[in-house]
Amino acid sequence: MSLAALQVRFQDALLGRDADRAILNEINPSRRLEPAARFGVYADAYRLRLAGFLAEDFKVLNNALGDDGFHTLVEAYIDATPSRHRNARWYARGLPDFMQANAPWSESRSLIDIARLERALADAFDAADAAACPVATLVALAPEDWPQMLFTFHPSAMVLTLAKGIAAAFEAAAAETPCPEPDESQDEFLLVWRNAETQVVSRELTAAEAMALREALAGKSFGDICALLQFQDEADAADVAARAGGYLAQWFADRLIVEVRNLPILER
Amino acid sequence: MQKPSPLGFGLGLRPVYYREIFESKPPVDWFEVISENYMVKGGAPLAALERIRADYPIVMHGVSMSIASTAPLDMDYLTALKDLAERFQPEYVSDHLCWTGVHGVNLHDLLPIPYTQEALDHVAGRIAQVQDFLGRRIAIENVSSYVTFAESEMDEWTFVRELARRADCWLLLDVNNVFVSGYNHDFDPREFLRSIDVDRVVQFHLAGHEDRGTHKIDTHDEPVSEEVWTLFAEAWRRFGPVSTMIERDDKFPPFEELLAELQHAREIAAAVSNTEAAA
Repeated sequence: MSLAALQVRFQDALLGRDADRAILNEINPSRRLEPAARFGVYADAYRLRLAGFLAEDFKVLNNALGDDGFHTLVEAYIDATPSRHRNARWYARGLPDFMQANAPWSESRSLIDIARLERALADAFDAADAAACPVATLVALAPEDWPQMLFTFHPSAMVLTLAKGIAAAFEAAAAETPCPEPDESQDEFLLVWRNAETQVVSRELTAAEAMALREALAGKSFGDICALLQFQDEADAADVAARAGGYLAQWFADRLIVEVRNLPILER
Repeated sequence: MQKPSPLGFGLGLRPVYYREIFESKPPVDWFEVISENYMVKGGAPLAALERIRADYPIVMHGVSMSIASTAPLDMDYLTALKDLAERFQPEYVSDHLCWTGVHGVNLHDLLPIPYTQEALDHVAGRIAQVQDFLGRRIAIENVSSYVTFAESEMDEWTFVRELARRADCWLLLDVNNVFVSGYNHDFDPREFLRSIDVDRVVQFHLAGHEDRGTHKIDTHDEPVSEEVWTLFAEAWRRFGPVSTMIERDDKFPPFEELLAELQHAREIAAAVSNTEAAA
């Protein structure tokens, strides 16, 4: 048998795609163990290792589901999802999407949101580095130039829409303390990013700030963001500009903004 | 063929010990880092490695090269490895004599191969390709294994020796793996050591294993066993001085315990060297 054929046979048996485990015919017995038991060392290790990756990255989800519930989820995910990644974390990243797509997990927005939040925290942990602009950058801008300003954010920054109460439920599950059930019929908004001390942090946003920040992350100018806020709230232009200015000041204070540039003249 | 100078006695760098290392600058001669842990875009892992690298020599040790796979070489992986090596300037780069998957799947394990002429040709050719791409000679490690294949045409040690000669690579001799595989496959680990060319071995791994009675498993979650210390002394007698390090990947003890184990390695090596000098 060629090396290639042997590797396919070995892999198929590990992934459970070959119920007969034809690979066993290629394995010598040892003085103490038959081929099936010897191969079993690899088969057991495969599932345990993947389960370990998932447990490492979803500790809070594990607490929220309980050990038995988490084990059931993990076993289903491993069966459905052979790893195609060299980095264990990239394998684990798919778990929230798997929950979203498969019953019974798809029926609980709260559990899916806990998993999404946990994934977001992990993603922010090792997102690319970028130095934040000092707050002085904003102070140096003339107010009349603000509408044309575009912002680039730290690569770790992301805005999550979650069921109302998830942030609190997440904290409670992390600490294994009781917490009121999240209200799945309403939303809350959470900003997650990594600060200058390489710590992953988060803060809750109002619906308006979440919308403004999403637009800014998508590359919209400050003027466009103000116009959108004004349209949403039917508010006075001066009030909206003041509110948006407050958001912007806070984003600088959070060290979220890494570059400020002018909208190209043709796009104004 | 000039081997890299011995680095002394090192430890596997694990995040659980970062703070301790930053604060106490422990008497460790060098650290071995898992390459894949730092193949990320940014954040704390790379910041930590920058700090460690400022104070210690490092060696980059990978688990994903899959050098013995029949799947094509993963050029994205090798490019990331090359970039990381250029940034952190390790003394050398190593990986395992194993495969980790085919058809795009990663089984996240160091899987064994049959010791055949076909496999020897295949792996030697791949190591040469990798060395050309990276622009450096790499070190290949013998793995612990739990099966042997009916198709094997030679002993593991013959395969490893011939592979190093054919591919012109270094060897990372994992003393614990020789011991574990020796137990699992009923061979004398000393015969393994005696068969390997002295001028190929640039590093020793030491680690603990789990004894299941019918077989032993390379778990890296226990102190180094007495039998492995004895085999280490044999290895030092034949190959030493060689860069030596201890791997610990689970049930992490206080850092002082690893330092004490490392001191034990130093003492064994010194005792063997003194005996050799006296003789």
